[in-house]
Parts: sequence; C-alpha cells; structure tokens
Amino acid sequence: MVRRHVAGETLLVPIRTGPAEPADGGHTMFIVLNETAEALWELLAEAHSADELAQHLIVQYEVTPSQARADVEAFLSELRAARLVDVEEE
Amino acid sequence: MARAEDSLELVCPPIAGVAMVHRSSRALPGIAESMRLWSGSRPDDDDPIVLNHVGGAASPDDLSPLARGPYPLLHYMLDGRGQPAVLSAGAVGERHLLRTVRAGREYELLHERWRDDAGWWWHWQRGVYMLALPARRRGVLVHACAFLRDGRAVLCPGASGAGKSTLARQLREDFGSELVLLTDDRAVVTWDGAGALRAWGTPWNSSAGVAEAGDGVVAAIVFPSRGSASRAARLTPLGAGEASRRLMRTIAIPFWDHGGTDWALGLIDATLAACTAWEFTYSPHAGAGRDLVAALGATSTTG
Repeated sequence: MVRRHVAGETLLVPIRTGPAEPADGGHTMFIVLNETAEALWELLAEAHSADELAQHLIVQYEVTPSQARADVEAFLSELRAARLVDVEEE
Repeated sequence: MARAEDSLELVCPPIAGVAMVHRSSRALPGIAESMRLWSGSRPDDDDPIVLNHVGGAASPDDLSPLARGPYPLLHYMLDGRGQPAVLSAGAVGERHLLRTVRAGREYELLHERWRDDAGWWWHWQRGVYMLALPARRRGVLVHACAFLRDGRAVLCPGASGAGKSTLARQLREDFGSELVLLTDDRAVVTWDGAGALRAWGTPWNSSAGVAEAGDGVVAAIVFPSRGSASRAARLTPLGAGEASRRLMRTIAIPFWDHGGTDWALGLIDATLAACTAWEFTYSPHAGAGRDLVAALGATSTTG
C-alpha cells in the first residue's frame, strides 16, 4: 500500500500482488482519506475493534454513536474491498 | 536465445527521448514497418531499452497472475522477483510472453510463433515502454490527446470514448499546421523528480492518426467532455482533488511496484501543482478547437 499526499488530499493506493477477485468488484485503484478516515487509518497501525474506532470518532469529532459506527463500517468496508485490512469477526 | 554473434540488432528511433534496441536471431521486418511513419523524438536518454526476441514456448508456469489487461487475451503477471510479465494468448492459440530481464532496461519477448504485422508490433512496443518508463523513473504513459501551443504542451486526458480523437480532429480542422498536434491517444509525460514536466507525442495513435514526435513543458491539463450541441463550448476549472482522481484513471501506474507507484503519484502531484486543470465541454463542430485555444489563452494558462 502506498500512502501519499496528492493535490492536497491523502490517497491510499493498494499495491497489487495477486489477481482481483469477483468480490473485489474489480480493482480498487485508490482511496481518498478525509481527516477522520486518516485518523482511523493511523489507529489501524495496531489492531482495534470497530467499537474502539467508533469511540475515537465520538471523542474526537463529537459525532453520535450511531453515526460513528456507520462511518467506521463504511470505511472498513472500503478497506476490506481493497484488501488493505484483515477484519476478524467480533 | 541466439549466441551474441548470431544476433541481429535493430535500433528504433526514440520515443519520449528513449530509443529501443531489438535483438533477435531472425529478421524482424514488422518492426521496421511499424516505425516507418515515426521519425523519432529528440534523444534525451543515452541508455536505450533493450528488447530481446526469443523463439520457443511461452510458458508462464513460474508466474503468478496479477490482472487481466484491457484486451481480453492479455494477462499481466508477476515473476518470482515481483517484476511484471505480460502474456498474450492469441485466439488461434499462439502465445507471446514479455518478461522483465532488468527493470526499465531490458526485456525479453518469447515468440511461440513469429509475427511480422506492424500493428502487432505497435502493441508490444507500447507495452514495453509502459513498463520501462516508470521503472526507470522517467515517465508514464497517459491516455491523452496532446498539442503544443506556443511551444508549451496542453494535455487532454480521457478514457476511451471521452472524445480525445474527436478533439484532435477538430483542432486539426480548425488550425491546420498552425498548431502542433502531438497525439490523439497516448502521450508520455516525463518528470525528473524536481523540474518541469514534459508531454511527448508517441507513435501510438488512434482514429485521428496523430503521431508527432514533438514535446513541450506541460502548461495545462484539459479533460475533454461531450456536451450538448445546443450549448456553447465552455472551459471550466477543476479542483485539484477531482483532477487528480481523473488523472489517476488515465495514467499507467505500476500498481505492482511500491516505489514506482509512489513516484507516479508524485508525478501527478507535481503536474497539478505546476498547472491548472480544466474540463472542456463541447460538441464537435467547426470552431470548437479554436474555442478551446481561445479560452485557454484568456486564462493565460499557456502564455
């Protein structure tokens, strides 16, 4: 994975070492990280549960628990599609 | 592979400043024919790309699949070193396999059956440059129409069907020889990692047949977009984020290579820092090319 600032945005670009699978929905070229996504990505340097990630959003960005959980699920879903994270069932 | 003393060498004129040396144990008339209409860019790199041609079985057994390419029968693969290979499995069964010998410098093309048609060679030459230029941190292929205005390049990237060839035809009709068209389909953008970015014409043209060997500093990025015939052509600025996403989709980024991908992203960042990006919405009609150039002139983007 390459993480780089391009034109004022932070991009995550998966490095491909194997074939795309049908579940990928094709090849994920890149993911654009906004401020909160970048913060989540930093946290994912170490293993965290979805609840822990959501809790971080609640504290740092003063969002509701349901909104935080939804944002985390959406982000993890995108990362999973790009095969940038290993997700264990909680 | 033939012994060195038996090998024939054919040096093809530079593309984006880099020549290609073909080495083979047999004559390759298709290559000479394919380059017949290409005068060559100005040389800008003393180290040519070497392509060794070898007859024999094109076995991909030691390669792992990476992705299916833009053609149904083209497969991108990685060797045990993580270097790219491209397998072409023809409809009638013959296969050709391109392997990396030294990234950016030397490649090998295995021929199960030798072919001499020029169009086939275009395909492989483009494939080798697509791998070699980013591997040597020199440049990338961009799916784009491009032209020079006052010696500076305007790059018009777009996917197939975006209107690149249509725009090139319109510019040719409107300006004739007043304007230097570089390509209607594939440009090379080079970057030395610090200085100016240059756009180069290539021999890999599309339906408008534009393949000129010039180059110039990139002064503007214009994404062509098909508009309604009832509305006047218009040039609208694009935000840098939107422009980078569009550029990402038109540049041949080496997604298998961490360093190459990082470098290519740096090139995109530098491009958008150096020049403004626009969307040109138009319907093909006489004067649309002049509309574009006049609008760019009004913005002072290209001097």
